[in-house]
Amino acid sequence: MKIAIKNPVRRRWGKREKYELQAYIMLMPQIIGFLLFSIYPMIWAITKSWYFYNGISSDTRFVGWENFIRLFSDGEYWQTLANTFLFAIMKIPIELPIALLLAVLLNQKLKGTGFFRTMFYLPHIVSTAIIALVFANIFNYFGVINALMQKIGILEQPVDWFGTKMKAMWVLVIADTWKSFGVNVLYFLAAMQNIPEDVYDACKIDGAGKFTVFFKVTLPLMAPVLQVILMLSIIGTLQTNELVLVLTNGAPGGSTYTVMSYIFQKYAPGLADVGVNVGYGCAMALVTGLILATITLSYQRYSQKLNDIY
Amino acid sequence: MKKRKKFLSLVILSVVTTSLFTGCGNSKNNADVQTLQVWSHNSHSKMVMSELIDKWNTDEGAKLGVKIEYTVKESEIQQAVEMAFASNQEPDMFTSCNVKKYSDSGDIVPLSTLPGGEEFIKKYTDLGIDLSGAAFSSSDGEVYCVPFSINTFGLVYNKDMFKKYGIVDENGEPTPPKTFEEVREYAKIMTNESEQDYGIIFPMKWSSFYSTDIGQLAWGSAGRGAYDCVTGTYDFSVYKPIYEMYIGIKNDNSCFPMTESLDNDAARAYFAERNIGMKFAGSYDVGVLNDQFPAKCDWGVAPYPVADENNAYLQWMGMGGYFAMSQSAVEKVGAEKAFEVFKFLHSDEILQELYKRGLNLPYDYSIVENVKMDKEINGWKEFAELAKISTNGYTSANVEITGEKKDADVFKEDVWMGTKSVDEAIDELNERYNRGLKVYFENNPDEDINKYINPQWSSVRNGE
Repeated sequence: MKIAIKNPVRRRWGKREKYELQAYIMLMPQIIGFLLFSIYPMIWAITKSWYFYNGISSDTRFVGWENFIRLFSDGEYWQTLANTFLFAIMKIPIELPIALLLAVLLNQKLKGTGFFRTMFYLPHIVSTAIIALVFANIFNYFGVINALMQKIGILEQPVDWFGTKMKAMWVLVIADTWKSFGVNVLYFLAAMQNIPEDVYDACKIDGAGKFTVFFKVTLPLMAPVLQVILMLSIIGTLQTNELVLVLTNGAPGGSTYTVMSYIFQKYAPGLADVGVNVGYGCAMALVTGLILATITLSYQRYSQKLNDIY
Repeated sequence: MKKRKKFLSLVILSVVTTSLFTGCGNSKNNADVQTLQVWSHNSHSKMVMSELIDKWNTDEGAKLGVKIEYTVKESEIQQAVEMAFASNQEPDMFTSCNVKKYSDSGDIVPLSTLPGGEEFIKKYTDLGIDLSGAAFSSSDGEVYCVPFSINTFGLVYNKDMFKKYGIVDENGEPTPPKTFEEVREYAKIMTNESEQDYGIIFPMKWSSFYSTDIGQLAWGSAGRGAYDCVTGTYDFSVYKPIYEMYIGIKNDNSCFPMTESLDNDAARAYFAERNIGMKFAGSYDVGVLNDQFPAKCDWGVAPYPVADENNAYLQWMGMGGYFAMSQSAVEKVGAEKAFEVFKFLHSDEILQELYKRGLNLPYDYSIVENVKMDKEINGWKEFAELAKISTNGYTSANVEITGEKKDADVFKEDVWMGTKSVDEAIDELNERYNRGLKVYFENNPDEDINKYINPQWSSVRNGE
């Protein structure tokens, strides 16, 4: 009778290696995709930032820091960056409180909460272009909003919602809030449901009212999640692109372009005018990326307190 | 049972063997016929082109041993072609070619190198067509593309509205505006908010708005665009009366609302559906206003208005290059056969059929002068006849103004929005473009500015 002698150490390493190999194989498509479709284009775009590049090889030439120097005197670019911040300042203080309020309501043990949770999330899975087209029609001069407001006597004449910068910005804010509040409701709900029940039981025993419980217990215990939600909201808002391109395309007079939509519209090959200096657009994208990264890092650093509450 | 099985096996074996031989026979035939891939961006003429190409494939193509596989790339053909070249799957012939780019890389064939190429080019130059522009030639003067169809432009006007507001002659026929001042005046007369009547509509969100509704108007009015080929400099003062007409109409509130957020499809649909007096349009709008959004009103076509009707010039028409031939076409079937396909794609036969169906106007009106239309198409003949008072002008010298606003942006963002006066905008553009001109030629010493200078240029409109 043969007795199989197994080396326990060797067997353990073999299994581990097998698991690791499996893990890498499963990760591979994602990693390859990330390298090919994110890292490679990023490196390509970064290198082109120091060139005059319009897609024609004989026209391409190294221009050193010229694109970057020119960028600092390009008022249109800085205007679109300022628009982006204005858009964020207008949208985030509306979007997050609405999402928080709805999350509090959905967190009650009431009938039909599942239905509303799904309904609120639905806009998030609808294509941004479709949402933009829907809102363009709703706020059309002959659209439903003007008709409704005229019917109930708020307006005498229809309003051209895209006739001035601020009106068009509000339409963008409403459309973008409608698209993204649902996902924040889910984040807030998840955060609330992680708070242990016994904390609320203790509050009840102490005789704390609903508002006191919300502001002194629920909100502080949600603070670490709030930090992440706020960060995602800031990043998402600063990157707003398709919505602007389809809904206003910068109208009126280019005044509603956010920085991403501006770069895309004016410098993306295929969309921009033939012969445009794509290298300058790459420099613009690089500087914008650095600005947004600085904002995100600063936010993470200065919002650290939200993590330290409890 | 065994016999039955044997019989069945024999039947199956014979069927399989026969089909295999049939396959061999087909592949032998296919091997004799080489397929050329032809890509076009013209979706509007896809059906007719496919019919004509199918016919050619069965007749001349079969004799030559060449088959055309015609594909319409609905949008972004330039990107599709670029990707195809990058992966060595380029089409053998394609439209919307960036001649400079592909001639630099040696990917396309100069027509003069093809057998009979010189005579083919001469056919166009004999008509007075200037093939030295970037749409047709490389910087060394080699011709890669020739024109095929043209787009003429003008003002479409709602005859019912003109009659309603009494803008008619002594016979009661509508009288479309001839000058920019009249456009403003008539737009004001026809605007009546309470009845939702509007004088004119501008699709300012449309990417070609500035060229179609502003830039091109300057040619008929001043005989040139912003670039003056006589002096070799940029002079935007030709746009002044046009900018002033726009600002006047804005101040009068006599244009359709939502100007800033309208693209051309929406504007055409509104013109077709609502009471709108006028719209600048191109010959490509005929199909739209007859079939896509059939207009509810009786509409007519007039030439572009000008600043001074007693001092009019030839107005603008679009005449770009058509197909370019890739080196792959010559490698696959040889220069002679490839050029036969190229000539067929540019043939009078195709132009006449496309004209008859109301799809394309030919580069030379005489090709279709005697062609009888299948049916009367409203506006088609009027747009075709505008070719007689039109020119495709000359090529403007390039400028390098990276990081600064182009004229279209200055108009939309500053002039229209009221942050700059017309004069300020024109001064700014003159300074910027002439500086950009200098920078471009400093950075491209191989390019000769004299190529863009023609002191003899004149396009005075005769007989008008």
